[in-house]
Amino acid sequence: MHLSEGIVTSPLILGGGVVLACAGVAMGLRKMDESHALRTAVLGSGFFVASLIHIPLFGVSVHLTLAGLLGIVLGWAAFPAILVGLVLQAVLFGFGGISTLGLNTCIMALPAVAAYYASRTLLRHPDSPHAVWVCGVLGAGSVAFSAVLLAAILRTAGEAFALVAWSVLIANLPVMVIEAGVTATAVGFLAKVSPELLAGTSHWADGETKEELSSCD
Amino acid sequence: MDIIVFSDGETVLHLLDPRVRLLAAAALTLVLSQSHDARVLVAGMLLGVVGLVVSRVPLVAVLQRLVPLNAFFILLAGVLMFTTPGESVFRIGTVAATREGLLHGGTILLRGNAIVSLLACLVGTIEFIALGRALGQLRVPAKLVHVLLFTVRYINLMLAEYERLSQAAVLRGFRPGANLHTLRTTGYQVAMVLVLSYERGARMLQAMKLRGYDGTLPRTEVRAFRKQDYLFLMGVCATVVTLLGVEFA
Repeated sequence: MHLSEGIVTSPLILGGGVVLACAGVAMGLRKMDESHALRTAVLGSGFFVASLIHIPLFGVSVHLTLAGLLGIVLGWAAFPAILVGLVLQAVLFGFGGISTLGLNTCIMALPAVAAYYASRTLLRHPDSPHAVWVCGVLGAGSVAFSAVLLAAILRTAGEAFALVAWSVLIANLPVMVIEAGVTATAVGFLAKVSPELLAGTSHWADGETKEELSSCD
Repeated sequence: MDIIVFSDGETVLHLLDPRVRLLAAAALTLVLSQSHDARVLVAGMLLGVVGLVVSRVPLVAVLQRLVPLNAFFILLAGVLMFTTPGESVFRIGTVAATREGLLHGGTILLRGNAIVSLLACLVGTIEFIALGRALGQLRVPAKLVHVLLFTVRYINLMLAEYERLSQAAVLRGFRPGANLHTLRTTGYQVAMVLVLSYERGARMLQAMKLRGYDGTLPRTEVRAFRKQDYLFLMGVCATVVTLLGVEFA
């Protein structure tokens, strides 16, 4: 889900996006030590690859955004990870752009951080039977949140964009279903195979890497 | 997935200091993204085309970027033509296309293409290591630069891991479709890529610590700007001032 270059011109909206994104990235960077930065990057590249996966859906193909899962796994580090991903997409594929970088970071990362906080309270036991439904809701909810943000930003570009904004919302309904399914399965898998990855429940971010650092010294 | 990088040329643009190219891209994007004047946008588009020609980036790769973008823009322009209020030009059934709508759509098309072309020839031609270094020298936080550099380093590896997983799935008769089975399989694949990248990150951290990594990368020498860098910067400044003059005159 992207805001393309050239559509929004209001300096207030573009600037607001930059300020919010900077604040989020600063928060993310403050929460990670250097070794955490390295692992965030490797996980970020995993997410980047996963977001290239396309799923066929009645003739069209839909690609995953995985903002919800990203938030559950990375927490606040989702901000720098998403910013880097967007820079790479802009440079490698020409998607997104420079002037919209702030807004696009917010569109993806705010839902991710929201999913992180939701998972901290709702997902204490990721291997319990109801966790599947919680993850499904988090996955679908983060897509909905992104779509609403994008639609709202488009709407600020003028009355003429009302139709476009509505079609963004409607086009994302099937994506919500797909994200719900994929997020629920992925979290269930991680809970069994690699539970330390679920930041909302175990904080690999805070405890584990530091411990590892001292054990290496 | 084909990833074509533009950074291995040796043209005038490639030889400029990456910092200069970044600053130029930022300044021109800033002006163009705020501009509503058709003359400024056409000038920006021309600059982009000249940049693409001078930097000799492969035409196929440029089209690969511009075609999907323009398909979207034309669709958008098609909608805006009818939803923008104003003086009507022609009608289809009960809805009227307006002059203002056509102009609005055209401006967005021009603006988007100009910025993406400039971005491709100015930033796309910077090699990633040099990009990270240049960002660091432009006072971007070191941790963020590290995340960028390590992400770039590992994308190809993770892509290979994912392709290995999906090949294994195909060999076992998996055919993606609109069903629950596809969602579940994809979910497992996504999670497995994450587990693999997480474990690889842990191994990599240990390997790097073993070689004395303390969270900083060795500082490289900051190269001073050369004559052509100053000339290019002056040219960009002059262009920006001219464009602003045209916009507000």
